[in-house]
Amino acid sequence: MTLSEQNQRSNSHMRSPDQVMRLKRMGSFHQSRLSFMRVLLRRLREQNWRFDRPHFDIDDAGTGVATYRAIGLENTYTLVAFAHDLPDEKRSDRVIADAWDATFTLFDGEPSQDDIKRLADNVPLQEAGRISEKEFVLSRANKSVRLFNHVLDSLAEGDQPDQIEIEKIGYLMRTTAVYGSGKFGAADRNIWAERPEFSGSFQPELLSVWLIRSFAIDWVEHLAQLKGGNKAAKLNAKAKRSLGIGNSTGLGMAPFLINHPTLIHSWINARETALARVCDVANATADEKRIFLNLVKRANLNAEGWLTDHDHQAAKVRCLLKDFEKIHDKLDSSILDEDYPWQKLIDWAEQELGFEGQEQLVSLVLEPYGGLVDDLAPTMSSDEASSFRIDGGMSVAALKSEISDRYGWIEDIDFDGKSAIARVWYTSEEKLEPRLGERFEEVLEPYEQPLSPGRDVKKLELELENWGQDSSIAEFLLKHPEHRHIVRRIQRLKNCPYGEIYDNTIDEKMLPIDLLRCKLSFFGATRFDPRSDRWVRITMYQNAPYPDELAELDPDECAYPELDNA
Amino acid sequence: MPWGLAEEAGFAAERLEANGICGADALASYLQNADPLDTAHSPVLLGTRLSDANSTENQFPALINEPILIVPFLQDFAGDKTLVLSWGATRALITASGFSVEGPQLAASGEPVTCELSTTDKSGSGSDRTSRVPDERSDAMRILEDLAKKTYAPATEESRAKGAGAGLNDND
Repeated sequence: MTLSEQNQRSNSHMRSPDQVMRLKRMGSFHQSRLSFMRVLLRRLREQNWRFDRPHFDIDDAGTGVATYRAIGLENTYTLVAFAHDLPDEKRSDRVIADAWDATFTLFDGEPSQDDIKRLADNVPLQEAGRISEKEFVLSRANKSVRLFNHVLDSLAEGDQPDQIEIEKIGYLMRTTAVYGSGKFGAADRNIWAERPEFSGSFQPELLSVWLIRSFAIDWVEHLAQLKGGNKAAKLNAKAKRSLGIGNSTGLGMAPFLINHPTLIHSWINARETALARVCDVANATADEKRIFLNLVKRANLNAEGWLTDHDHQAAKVRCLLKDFEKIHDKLDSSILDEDYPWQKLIDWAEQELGFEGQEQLVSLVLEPYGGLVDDLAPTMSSDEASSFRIDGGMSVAALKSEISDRYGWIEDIDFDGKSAIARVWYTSEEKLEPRLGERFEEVLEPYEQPLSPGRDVKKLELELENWGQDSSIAEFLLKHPEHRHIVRRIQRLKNCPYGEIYDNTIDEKMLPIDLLRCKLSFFGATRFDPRSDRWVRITMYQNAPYPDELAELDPDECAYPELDNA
Repeated sequence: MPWGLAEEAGFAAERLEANGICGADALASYLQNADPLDTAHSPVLLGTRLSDANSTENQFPALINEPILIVPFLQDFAGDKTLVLSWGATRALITASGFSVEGPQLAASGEPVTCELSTTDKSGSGSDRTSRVPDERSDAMRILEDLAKKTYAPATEESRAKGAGAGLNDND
């Protein structure tokens, strides 16, 4: 079978956008082989990147600067970390904070002393400072005070911290922002987009976070040494591995999925193509079955350790744990010995499991098939400029046909009712951050951002009724420039079936955490812990190898907790 | 200006800047000086009209504000030729690969000026692609940022609490 025949066959098995692009399902996605953290570590390992720590100038008060270097064949990158002494009352994860426990930037190359001095004047200020085209990422992190102090005190006494506490919290520090492309003076994406080590999405940002994880360990061990002197211990390997980096993400990330339809298509399309390829496997080998069955147990363990106080997510986790019971029962039958076992398993899950369980299985069936699916990772990016221009020659009839193909779901929504348009996406003057307000309670409509494609398509559809089928879009837009944004979107989506969310993004019941979960799962995050309906904590790189372990330890083998941790 | 047109205005300014031409200044000047209700002389509307119709026929000579802003829209019509957009003492040379400008880039008065479109055998020299507006022209960026601010909602205590949706305790 040629590759194109194989692709064709796979295409016929692909789940439809109507099935996949629903917020409830997107809000149940799990990390997978194609998640960007895993893609990054896999690539760094394959390309034999080397890592070191040229500076660690942290004084007796625990403040100072450290650098972490990643050295590839052609390029070197350096995380410059500034450690601060932050009074407890100033520690806040919210975007209104103006001081942090530690601040970071990712430097392109090896910074000189002058560079470090320049960065020391700016990076600790974050949004209020200015970095340059030599920097790719600006970030900051706060301690998880509870765990950080527990680990520090234990190590200072020469003891190891309580492993249960470590696994419960999962990180010493959490980032509260990781700014990339062009933000606050940082290099634009086009400076590094062609570098092979960064192909895909968000690779410089996730390289920074991975190196921040090393800094968090070094920092707590250093402080323990200062406190305990000779009797101080280093963290054992098991404790270290269980520590990731936390992240606190608010609404700022949610409109991204709506604003970048061709990019989102490329992500979802890669994952759905991967699933289709695996479902196309006629027979599973003994090895493939063994890998899968082992990972099902480890994913179950991961779900058992998934703690959240958020009612909605807690119910979903309970449902996932029940789903795992059903999955174990199903796997006890001989389903994996039948032909097309993965297709059968996915079909069964569709009937029997909740969204959490279904999407967990989608991620798990990809695991044994790196050779079949990992080549999709570089397709997970998009040249948005190439689809910018509107095709004015398109007829009104053709545009209507695009709408009926892609937006059938809006017919069920009553946009004349208040509940369907209850929300307004806007940007706050105070923090330049996207926010979600109540249309009928606050004066926000004049500031509304175009982030409700369903409603906007409905308006367009009504206007198009007054136009002849053969009229051109050029003529239509000349009279109705107010529809220009949504017409561009519809045309852009022509070859991007997974680019649109098939749900109303301004409905009174819409949960922004579903948007956040979708995006963060593609990053590779785990342990989603919503703190409200629009703010979520997650863990990144938990169980992953550290830089000095990467050569020996396959990161793909570390994506789920080890069974002996149970 | 509707969102879809604002996107085109941003496209034009950014594409000019990437070619080392002061698109930010031109856009700032146009938005500051021109009457927003005067659609007849809008370079953004003319640019989108050319782009949507996929034709430059019967559109020139044209009397418009800051003609430099049309240059990016004309690029798709260059093919293997060099197009020349000229007004006053200025000639903008446009090829499929880039643009260059001889003479002042901005219209002197801020008033609409007459521009003509022609072709030439002379090859236009593209300039180096850049991704930054140079610091010495930060005034234009400040004007554009001030205009962008008009789309941002003023914060209220209510929106701060509700809109951002932070929990009561974000520490642990």
